[in-house]
Order: sequence, then C-alpha cells, then structure tokens
Amino acid sequence: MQTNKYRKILSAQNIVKRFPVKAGGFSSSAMYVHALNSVSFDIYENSTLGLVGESGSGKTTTARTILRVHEPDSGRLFFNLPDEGVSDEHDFFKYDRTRLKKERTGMQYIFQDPYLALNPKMEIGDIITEPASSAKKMTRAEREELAKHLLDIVGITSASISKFPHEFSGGQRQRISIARSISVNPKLIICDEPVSSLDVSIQSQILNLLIELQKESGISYLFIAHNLAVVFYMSDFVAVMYAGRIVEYSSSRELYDNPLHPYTQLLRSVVPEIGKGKKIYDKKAQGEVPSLVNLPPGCPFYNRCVKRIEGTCDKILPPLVKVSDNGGPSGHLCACHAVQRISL
Amino acid sequence: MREVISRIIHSIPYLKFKKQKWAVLSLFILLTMYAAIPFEGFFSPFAPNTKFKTKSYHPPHVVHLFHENRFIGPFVYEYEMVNPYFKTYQTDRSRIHRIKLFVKGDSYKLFFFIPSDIHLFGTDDGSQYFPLGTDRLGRDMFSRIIYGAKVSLSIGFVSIFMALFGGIIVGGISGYAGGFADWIIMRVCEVIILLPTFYFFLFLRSVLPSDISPAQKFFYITLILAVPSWAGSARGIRNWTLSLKHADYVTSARISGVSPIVIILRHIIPQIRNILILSITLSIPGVILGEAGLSFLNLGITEPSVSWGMLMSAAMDINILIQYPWVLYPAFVIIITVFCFFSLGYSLKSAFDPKGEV
Ligand SMILES: Nc1ncnc2c1ncn2[C@@H]1O[C@H](COP(=O)(O)OP(=O)(O)OP(=O)(O)O)[C@@H](O)[C@H]1O
Ligand SMILES: [Mg+2]
Repeated sequence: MQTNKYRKILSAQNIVKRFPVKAGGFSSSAMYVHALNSVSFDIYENSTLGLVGESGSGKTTTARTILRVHEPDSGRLFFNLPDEGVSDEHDFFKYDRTRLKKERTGMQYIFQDPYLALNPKMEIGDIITEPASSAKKMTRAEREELAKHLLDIVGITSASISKFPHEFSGGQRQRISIARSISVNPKLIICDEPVSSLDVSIQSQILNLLIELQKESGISYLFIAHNLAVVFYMSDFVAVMYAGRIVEYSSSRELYDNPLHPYTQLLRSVVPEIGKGKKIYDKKAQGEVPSLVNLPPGCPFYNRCVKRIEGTCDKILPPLVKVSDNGGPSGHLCACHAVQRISL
Repeated sequence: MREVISRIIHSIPYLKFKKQKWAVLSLFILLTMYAAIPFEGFFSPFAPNTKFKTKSYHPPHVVHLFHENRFIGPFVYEYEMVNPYFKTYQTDRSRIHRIKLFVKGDSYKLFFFIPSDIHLFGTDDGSQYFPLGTDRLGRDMFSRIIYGAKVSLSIGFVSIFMALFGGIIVGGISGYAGGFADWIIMRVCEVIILLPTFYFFLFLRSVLPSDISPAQKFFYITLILAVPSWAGSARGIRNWTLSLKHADYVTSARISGVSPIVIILRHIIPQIRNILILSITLSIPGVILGEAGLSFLNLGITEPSVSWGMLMSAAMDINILIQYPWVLYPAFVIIITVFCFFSLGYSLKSAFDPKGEV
C-alpha cells in the first residue's frame, strides 16, 4: 500500500461529546455521560472505515456528532476538502447554518432500523427524493424521474414509486433508505448498523449492494457494526471503539491478521468463523464496562484486561499511537500500555 | 390532486366506523345540513327577515291531504288571528291554500351569487305556509332556522380551523424548538385552558367595540370562540411534536436540510392526522354551543344576521315559551347537531384507536 494513493475525505480530530444527565436527589452539580472522549480517525476516498465496538461504546454518537445532529463539545472535523492545508475556517464544526446545509449534502446517514427511518405517511417517491429536492428546487417530473432512477439502482421496481413504506419488507426498506441516501451523490455515507435488524439471508444482499455502489461511484462509507465478521467483510480500515474512545485503528487486513489491543482480541475471539486463533479469553469476559458518568483515570478497559500492568494502566490513560508501520497510510494505531511497551 | 386521492384511498381502511349505524346516520345528517347551506334560499319558503305583521306568533301549520273527505293533495287551512293581544288563532276551514313545489317567492341568491326567486315549496295564492310557525314579528321560523345554519354551522368549522392553524404553528414550533420559548408558550396555554371557557368568552366579548359591521362581528366572534380550542390544540400538538421530533425519519429530514416548519408539516402533523380529525370533530360542538350561548345573551350574532343561538334568545321568556312553544325549535336543531358531532366523534375515536390509547 502506497501512502499517496489515499486521499482523506474526512478527518475527525479529538471529538468530545458529553450529554448532561439529571443528577439524582438534591445534588445540584451537573453530571455528564462522557459519550465521546477525544475521538480521532480518518476516512479515505473510495474506501470504507468500519467502526466496531460493543453496545454503548459511542458508535452512534460518533456518527451523529459528525453529522452535527449532536453539536460536539470540542474537536475539529475536516470533510471533503481539496487538500491537506486545513484551517479553522474549514472546520465542519464551525460552519454556520447555510454553509452546513450546503456541505452536509455530501454526507448521508443510513439508520439501523428500516422500520423507523421512513416516514410511514409518505410515498416512496417523495421519501427518496427529499434530500435532493431540499438541496435544490425540483419540478414534479424531475423528482419522479430521479425516484425511478434511484429505485432502479437499488433493485426495486420503479412502479413502487407511489407506494407507502408499510408495503415493503425490512430488506426492501433498507434498499429504499439507500436510494434516499444516494439521491444527492454524497461523498460519504454513514451506515449505522444497516443490516443488524435484518434476516441473515438478506444481510449479504444489502452489504453487496453497498459494495457495488462503492465500486460504481467511489463513495466512502463509515460502516458501523458490532459484528466483527461483517466489519471485516465490508471495510478497508477498521477503528475499534471502547467506552467512547478509539482503542485501535488500522487497515482491515492488518487488524484481521494481527489484532493488538486486548479488547480487539476479545472481540475477535468471540466471532465463531474467525475466532480460530489463540484463545486468550473465556467466552465470558470478566469485569464490566466502566461508567461513562465517572470515567476512571487510567485505561477504560483496565478491569477486563488480561495484560494489564498494575500501577500504570489504572493510573495513566494510554494514548492512541502508532505501534507499527503496517496497516495503511497512518500505520497501526493502538491505545494500550502493554502493546506500546513491547513495540518500543 | 393525484396525491390527495391516493391519500384518501389509503385512509379508507380506517373508516371502520361504517359498522356503527348511529355514526353513519350522524354523518349523513351533518353532511346534509352543510350541503344545504348554499341552497338556503331555495329550501326556505321566505327570506329570513320577511315580516308578516298580521301573523305574529302564528302556530305551525298542520298539513292536510283530504278536504271534506276528498283527496286534493297537500294543503293548509287559513289560520285567522282572533285575539291580537294574546296572538290566538282560529282555523278557517273554508279557506284552503294548496302547497306547491317550485313556487315563486322572495328573491335570493343561489350559491350566494345566482339570483333566483324559486322556492322548493310554498303556496302561490298570496297566502303563507309556516311549517314551524312564526316569531313575534311574524317571521317564518323554518326559513330562519335554515338561514341560521350558515352562521351556526360554519362558525364551528371556521373557528376550529383557525384554532388548528394557530395550534400547528405555535405548538409545532414550541415542541420543536423547546427551551424557554416552549416554557412560556405552554404556561400561557395552560392559563387559557384553566379559565372557565364561557366567562372567558364573555370577557373577550366585552373588550370588543359594539359598533361593528355584521361581517366584522362574525369574524371577531369566530376568533373569540377559537381561543380556548387554540390553546388546547397547541398543547396537544406541542406534546406530539416533542415525542416525534427524535423519530429517525425526522432526524433524517433534518440532516437533509429540510426546514423546521416543513418538518412539522410534512413529518409530524401527518402522523397525528387521525387525532386531529378526532379533536376537530369533538371540538366543533363546543364552539357551536359557545356561539349559541353568546347569541342567546345578545352578545353574539345580532339582527339582521341570523344564527340558531340568536333565534333561541326569543325563547328566553317562560311565558312566551308556554304560549308559543314552537319558538324552541332552534334549540332542537342545536341539540341534534351537537349530538351528531359527538356521535361521529366517538365512533371515529373507536375506529382510529380501538385500544383507547389516546
Ligand atoms: N441523546 C443522548 N442523551 C444522553 N445520553 C446519550 C444520548 N445518546 C447516547 N447517549 C449515551 O451515550 C453512550 C453511547 O451511546 P451510543 O448510542 O453512541 O452507543 P452505540 O455504540 O451506538 O451503541 P449500540 O451498539 O447499542 O447502538 C451511551 O451510554 C448512551 O446512553
Ligand atoms: Mg448505535
């Protein structure tokens, strides 16, 4: 892999997002769920970044913060810029309303649950052309033509244009969501567990449709899943998330062959078809995910980790640093004291 | 248009109330009443303000078919006033007036713009047929009830739609924007809801100037009647907006740059369409009664306009009521209308929401 082959389409830098929670009792001090704690990653043109992690690790929050459905507390985001020379003026998080509306058409979002993502009272044709017609004025005829074209691409008969969502199956609805997301020729589509609510037999059809679209139009994906097998199948790069942090980031190939972070190894060992490697964990991992309200000072994975170094891991937060040059343009990044000690 | 038709067809399965006879009957009665409004002049034998000086408090005519045991078709006998002080009448069996269809009479405007003087029924020999009697000034009650429908029935609709329009704008924005604006708006709505409605009407009415044209009066009264329902619907719509604004399809629209007002109209209101239809149906009778109440106290619609409530104010005196009970007919019409709306509303409620979730 040559470094200059890759051009960044999105670069997230130290994103922090916390949600206020109601403090119990009469306590007046504000409390926060620290959903994202300095999350950084890059997404390259015409490639897929898989984002994997267990429930509550902050995958959806990452996606929605990038889209500015949630406003971030801090961090920078560079999206769809011509070159690397970036300044605050190009920070996606600092765009005003008009600029945001314009630039955000380059990003689209596909929801996990196809039953909740489509307005039940709208016709399919209107649903899938909504992003396009909100970006620019379109006549009825233009919309109809676009709708038919999009339905054709995702493999739904264009006669369905005036049907309602309830007339479709889950898989078909997810195709409709995909049609909607590609209606504005986005650079990046964020797929938030797009197949996890579908039948296994349908999952691969949807995944293949996404892959095909990428081949044809060079879209990038941020592909969110908690199933590592699906992520390996889809992704060129993988970021592993734990308790609101990226703990490992590298190319998909490298991560498959050589997972370094103990948490990644745990995830990998429980996937039946690829978990044939050395078992360093029991099926049931010991310990609990730390509370996101009171974050521990050290590594969030400390209490579940088999490689933990007492006195270091529970005191000092391991930074996400390059531990090897394998694994794509930015190398293999890992946030683990034990791994970093070996690689040094 | 195509869209509208497909929406209507789409909603047909919801009309499960077909099974309920009362609801169908009510719907039929209401539709007939509303449909009759443009034909008011045609259906009523006289203009609402045509006075017959010698026919004050004339009792309703009894229609006969046989005269001296011979069938001659529908006709009425002449009723002659025998006591001008107590307005008592005596039947003069020698003078008969045949009731005919499509007779010439007072001129009026069909559909409010086509001039005509043909009435559905009446007599054509210079006499009068009063199906429901007359009032103090000798005006035909039946004609006045028909003319009153225009104000009484439309005031419900117009004022509910005003309320709904305001409710969608205010409640939608309040729920969608949240924050301090939401807090203020909701407190205002709660105060309005908590005030006793009729006293509130009286208060608002007392603020109005008295020297205004009938059209202005109609507009203001409608507006006054809309205020309590506006507060109610704003609060309801606000709560629904709040619960729907995190729906995935709303988030999706937001990401696509759809403006808040379009999101409210396109993504939120259609989800609560059934609830809105229901609340309209159940709120109209309140407005009709409100108008009747105000007009009964001479604070609403006044002469020369006609409304059912105003007609009822003639029945305010118990002595008049006992001697000339037919002046109470407008009250029956109001009761029937209100009953029809409620009956329709409750059937719709059980059809839309069989488990009683709303
Ligand atoms: N709007 C919100 N308000 C408060 N807390 C939130 C909000 N959204 C997410 N959180 C919290 O942030 C944390 C991360 O949630 P998130 O939905 O991003 O996880 P996830 O990785 O997508 O999980 P899943 O696999 O279940 O979808 C959770 O602890 C969640 O409770
Ligand atoms: Mg999620």
